[in-house]
Amino acid sequence: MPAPQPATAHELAHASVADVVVIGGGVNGTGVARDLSLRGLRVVLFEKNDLAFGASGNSSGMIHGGARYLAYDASVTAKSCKDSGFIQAVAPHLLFRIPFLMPLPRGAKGRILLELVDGYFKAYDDYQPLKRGESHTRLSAAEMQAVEPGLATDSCGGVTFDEWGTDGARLCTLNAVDAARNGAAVHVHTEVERIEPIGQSDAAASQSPAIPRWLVTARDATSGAVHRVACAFVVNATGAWGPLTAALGDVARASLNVRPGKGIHVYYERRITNFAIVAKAIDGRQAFLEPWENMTVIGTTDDDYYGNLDRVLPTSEEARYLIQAVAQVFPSIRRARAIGTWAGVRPTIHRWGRVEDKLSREHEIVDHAVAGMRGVISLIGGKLASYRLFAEEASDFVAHALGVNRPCQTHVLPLPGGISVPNPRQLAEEFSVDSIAAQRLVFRHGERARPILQSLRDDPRNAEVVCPCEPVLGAEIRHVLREEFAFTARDVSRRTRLGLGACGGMRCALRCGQIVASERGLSPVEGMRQGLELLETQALMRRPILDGEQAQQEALHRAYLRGLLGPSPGEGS
Amino acid sequence: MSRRDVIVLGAGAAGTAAAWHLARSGCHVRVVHAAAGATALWNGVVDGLPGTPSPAESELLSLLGICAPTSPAKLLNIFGILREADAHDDALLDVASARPALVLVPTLPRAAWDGEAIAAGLRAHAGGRFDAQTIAIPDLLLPGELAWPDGAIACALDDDARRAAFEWSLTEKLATWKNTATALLLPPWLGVSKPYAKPLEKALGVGVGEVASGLAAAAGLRFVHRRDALFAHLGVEVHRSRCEAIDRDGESVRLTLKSGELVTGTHLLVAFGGFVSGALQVPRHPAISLVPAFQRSVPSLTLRADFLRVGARGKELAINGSTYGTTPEDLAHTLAGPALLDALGVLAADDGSPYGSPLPFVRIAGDALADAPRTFGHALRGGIRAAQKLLNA
Repeated sequence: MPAPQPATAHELAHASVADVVVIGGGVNGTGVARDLSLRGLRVVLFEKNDLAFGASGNSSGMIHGGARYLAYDASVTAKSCKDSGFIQAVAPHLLFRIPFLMPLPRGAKGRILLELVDGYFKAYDDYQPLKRGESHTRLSAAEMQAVEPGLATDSCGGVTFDEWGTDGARLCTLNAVDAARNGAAVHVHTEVERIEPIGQSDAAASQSPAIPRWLVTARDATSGAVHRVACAFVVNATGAWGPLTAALGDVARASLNVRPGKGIHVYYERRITNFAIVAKAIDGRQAFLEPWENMTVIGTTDDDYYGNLDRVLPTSEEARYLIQAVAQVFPSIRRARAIGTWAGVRPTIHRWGRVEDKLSREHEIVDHAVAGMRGVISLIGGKLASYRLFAEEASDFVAHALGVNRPCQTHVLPLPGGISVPNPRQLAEEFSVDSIAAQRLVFRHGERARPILQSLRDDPRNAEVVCPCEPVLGAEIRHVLREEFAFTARDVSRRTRLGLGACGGMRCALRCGQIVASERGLSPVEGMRQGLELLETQALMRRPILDGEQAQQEALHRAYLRGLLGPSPGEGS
Repeated sequence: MSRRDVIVLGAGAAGTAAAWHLARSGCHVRVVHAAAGATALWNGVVDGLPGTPSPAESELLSLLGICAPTSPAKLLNIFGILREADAHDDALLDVASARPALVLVPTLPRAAWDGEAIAAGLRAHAGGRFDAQTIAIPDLLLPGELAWPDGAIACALDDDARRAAFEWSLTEKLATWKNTATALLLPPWLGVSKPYAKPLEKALGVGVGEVASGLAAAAGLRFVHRRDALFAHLGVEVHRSRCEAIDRDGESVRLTLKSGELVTGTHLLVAFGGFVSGALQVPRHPAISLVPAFQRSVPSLTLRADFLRVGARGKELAINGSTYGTTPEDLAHTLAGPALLDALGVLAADDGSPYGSPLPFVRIAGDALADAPRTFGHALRGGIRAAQKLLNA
């Protein structure tokens, strides 16, 4: 690869100036952007797709303590638990308890395992206070059946342990919103095209560390507008895209290597268990079922992935692998109605010669000064549960390099909406909205639910329940379009879970597109196109799990769309 | 020719057309149907009937309250998008035939109706040929009705007293527009058992019609109402239950219904929309074998009645996972062209004869007809054709 050409004087003259450019709108990128802007640095964030587009929005949605990692890396567990506690404190609305059950097989081996597991979780109990978790409990086979009647009957007993659930897409959004409140510029659907050095001498740079060294050029995919930002530091937080991004700044592939690991989840139309349940897949890997938000989720696969990162599609084999695993401990999962899947790619730290499951879940800051690029770092690895800590470490690194010594505050300052959690029932009464709609609104927006509901008084149509499955009100859609960097119907869906319920968006996607068009002054046809794009994406993610009832729903869906749009080209005879 | 005793399985567009044609041709017809299918979601738009309808088709269309203009109709959907159609429920506003200079679109304090967006859509599509204007009619609905689904309001407007109040609030508002407005676009509310579009048009002196909407749609309800009236008039026997098994009983064909009833006849006309009606979801039965491996992957597609099989694209379908055959991924794809789900139908054969040459006593129509993406018009035409073939066999 040719060495990057220094930026021209003309380009520099038209550039804006910032301290740090963060690339990537996942939880690490938005986390760093928030942390650095709270320390008073001028931050610009570019995301080429949408916030939470990749692994952050497609994880298991848990801020778990990493009990699994206790066996080979207790430091990961300790860090995870501590950070889980901090995340809970700053986003108390975006939180729900997930009590787990781990059944163990009958027979001598199972009984020995039960002793070992009991001991193991005794050790994990020491970390639970860090994240407000309950200690584990040992249950007999009969007790297990009593608390979770659908469990397979061939267990000798088991243990419970405590974890917390959250919403990864919301975490990204709230971090981005707070970064922007503190002065950061957040640009989504804007892809970085070049990272070029601004020929500063090292002497000048060492005298004034905040002097711009890099010119970052990015293009807005919608408007075509070009952003040029001269900055002192570039943070590459693009997850599995990391090596591609680093290559824009001429970082050779070898110096930034991730091991991309595809993971899929299958989700069901409602909560079907009281507990999350640990299962074992055919290859011995751990799988699980969890009641998550208002649905049930099973996961997670982990396979090396070298396909298109912008279009990660699940396969029916992956779905079947998970269903088969969960059916071992919870047989009636086969009769439950799967309504969709999600898929993401983890940016796991690279290691040769290890199977996917044995790769470390640690995170790592790669300083490209080693490769001759002072002022560029890449963040790799990590997980949702410890994003804040990772962002703090990266921000410490950047702040130190720029000679700023304000401390991190992200563990004490609440995320937007996190100051207090209003009572949803009171809100429902006060604003005459459905109490479930109010409850979900409070989950997503905390105390910001109130100003959103206040907009119902300006226009009663804002009270419209656009998505009845989740549910999502018209007012919330307008809010995320105005305040949370949503530009398309798919962006709205990511922030509100619109269209992700049992009807697959049939009742809401096109209406959502219509609202997007009216909010953004687009044509009705463009609004409809966006609605259809959301439906299309959802249909692609649903395909691997279609059967029985879901296939019926699919046929209704197609009949409805055909009636609305007319037959597609080549149809009708 | 001996009298035929025909069982029609399904009562959507295809089943209705077939039952109607058979009954008026002198057959004894029994209709078996279970649940609301795609036709119940019908939004009033008819595609797939190009050209001039045959005399039989014309007669049935008018019985079902469907008008087929000589040139394609231009209908507006609830998202403000105009589109062409071959025919439509006569309550829908056709802006091509009405040649409206100015269409009035009410704004309502109601969730599912965005008058501004619809008017904007209409203007964007009209290309200057006509205009659309919003008018606020806040008292068009009673306060309690504001949250009702469209279908419920359509039912309420079957009532004369309610109609009088409705008309009154419209007349008052339209007075100022008397000389400029030529048409009034309304939500899908214009009656179920008593179609209201034409009387309202007469009362107001402007063209009146509904938008096409596929959810809780009045057009689907009107279809169901007209169909039931048609069956009653023709003396068609209706069994409302799910068919659980189909087999032969000597010379006759026998359906076992979920209600426990047995329905027999000399002929069977299959006209169900497979997935939607759930007709392919036949529970375990001696006549049906499921491939045990990977049952999770679409077991409901592997139906084997003793002479009916599920097929797609002319081949018997057994989706067992990609290692063994078709993958579920092939089934559905919302927009990018036809998927297997569209081409899914019932194959009828006794001796492995290829798809397309069914048993003489079985005919297939509508959604159950494999190998063709279906529309309302296609189903209607297919229903009549299947009935004709059965009569000629």
